[in-house]
Amino acid sequence: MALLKAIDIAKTYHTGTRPVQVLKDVDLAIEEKEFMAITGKSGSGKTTLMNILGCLDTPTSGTYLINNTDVSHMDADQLAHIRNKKIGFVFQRFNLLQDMTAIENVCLPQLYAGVYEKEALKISKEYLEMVGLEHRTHHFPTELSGGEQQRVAIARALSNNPSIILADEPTGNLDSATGEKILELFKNLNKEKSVTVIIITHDKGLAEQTNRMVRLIDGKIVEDTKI
Amino acid sequence: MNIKILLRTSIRVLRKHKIRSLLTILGIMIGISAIIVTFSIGRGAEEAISSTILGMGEGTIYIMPAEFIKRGALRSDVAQRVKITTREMKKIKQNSPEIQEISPMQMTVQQLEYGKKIAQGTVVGCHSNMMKVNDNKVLMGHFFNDYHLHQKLNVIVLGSKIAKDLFNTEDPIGKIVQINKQPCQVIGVLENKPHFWGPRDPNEWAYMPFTVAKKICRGTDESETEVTMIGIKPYKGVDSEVLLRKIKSILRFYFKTKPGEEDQFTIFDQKSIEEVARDAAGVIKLFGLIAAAVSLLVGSIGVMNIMLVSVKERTREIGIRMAIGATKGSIRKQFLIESTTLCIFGGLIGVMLGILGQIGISQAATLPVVIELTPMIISLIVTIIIGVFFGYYPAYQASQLNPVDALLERI
Repeated sequence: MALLKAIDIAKTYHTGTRPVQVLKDVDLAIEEKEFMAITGKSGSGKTTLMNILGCLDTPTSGTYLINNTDVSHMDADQLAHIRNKKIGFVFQRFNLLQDMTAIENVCLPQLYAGVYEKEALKISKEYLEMVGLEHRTHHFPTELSGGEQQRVAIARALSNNPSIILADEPTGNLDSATGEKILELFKNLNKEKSVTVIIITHDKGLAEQTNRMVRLIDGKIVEDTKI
Repeated sequence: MNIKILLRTSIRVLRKHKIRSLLTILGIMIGISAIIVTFSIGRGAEEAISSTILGMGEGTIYIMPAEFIKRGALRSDVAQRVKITTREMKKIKQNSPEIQEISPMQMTVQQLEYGKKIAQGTVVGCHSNMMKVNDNKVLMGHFFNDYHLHQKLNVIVLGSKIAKDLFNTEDPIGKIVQINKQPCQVIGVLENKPHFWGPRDPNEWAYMPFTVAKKICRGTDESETEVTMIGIKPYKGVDSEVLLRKIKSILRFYFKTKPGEEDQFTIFDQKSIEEVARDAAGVIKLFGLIAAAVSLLVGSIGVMNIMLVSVKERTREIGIRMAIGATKGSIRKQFLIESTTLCIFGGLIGVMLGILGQIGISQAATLPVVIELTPMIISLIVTIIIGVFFGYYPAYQASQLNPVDALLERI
């Protein structure tokens, strides 16, 4: 039983006069505990695919199942609930809230899930320790390096104990050494916490370090290889 | 997410934009302080009116010729003037056992001279029971008696302000003051009466025997019986409505007023004066509240405007929050709490400014300071309503953003 299953998914944007088809005939099944990459050049539709897989967006047609539940026709609040509970996002721009400290950022998904603040703080501290930032809990994002900010983002993505981590160019804003460390962190998470990790990247070198590579060209899957 | 956390977040955001937040709530502050000041001036005026009315004497009724005032409203058409004389006074007294004291009052504005000092005051010619009619008290010396009245002795009792103007620290008792070149001996000075505003300061009145006032002040012959008004003090516990109706029918009978015709006289009692005065205070209040409402409306639009700007500025933040699981409802709640917090701050500062303004105005206008809780509570409720009502549209806009567009700031 696949954890995520996209069946014949298409996405068309209606901007300007001409509809633009960004994704077509996408069929993809992702099993539990996979560690994989979705690659493609910019404009290939990989970010759109990530948005759909991450329930940030809905497909124009086709079916998308998470744990065998059809989410392609859910309303905004139901999708928000799934994003909150089942999916953790890691972005290229880190996307931390600048007015909040590291630990407050990590707490946020739990607070939206209705966890009490005291409990959320305790859990968040554990996750910050896990990513090696126990000494940075009360720092604001501007006081942290890029690598540290990305670690906070990873701790935040983990804080509701999701089954899937979706990382969009997670090393794109980092130097190669820091990038390597972040990738190492993902590998460990996948191994030790059995989290499914999906990395979206244009970097072939990075993609090759995962166990599976899906390549998109012009909105279509052209390659799906186990490494 | 609970309210406490959202409130903390709001305060943090507002503190980050201190100047902007302060400017935004300026209208709310002014509006709320206007409400506080208006209420307190209204209350102060009412207190002033009450104490001035009590200064007329408790339960005292005054009758004047020509009806220019009706219960609660001034009349524009003044009916034909009749004379009220001591004859009517006697009729009323004979027919009304409810009346304890009754005195004619013949009032003229006069210059009182003592040496080189001059004071202007209202000289009241009355009977010796006048102090019982209007509840005045003698501070020094004594009031005139029936002997003075019948012997037509030139004696006078001064209100406290006249006494101070003419004699300052000197002892006035026994001194001679000149009225219309006629000498009058001061035999008493009255206690100071509380008086807050208006031209008719009771402390600028002076009392002399009715018989003497006719002679000195009007120069008319002594058979003249016309009075300015009649002062009546009913016994305690008398139903004033019943007594008023009775006096009215006696006078209508005496003046041969036809049924359906307006009265040719006016009966002032505390209630009617109070009603007129309260109407006046009500008008002041109304204008103040209109000004406050306009200011609040302008302020509210300012709040809505700044919240719309805030939503626009924080599009990416909204996107991030949505990506990690914020529902539309929680985004809406966050912005609503932010606008409400903003307004409550405005309200609180407004209340403080209002209290300061109130103390200032009370001192300038010699009104009593009345600090009341009710307008403050009303103000805070109003600010919360404004915050929710004018914050709703921006909050709704925020909640309707598409997470992907918001994250990429593609709005």
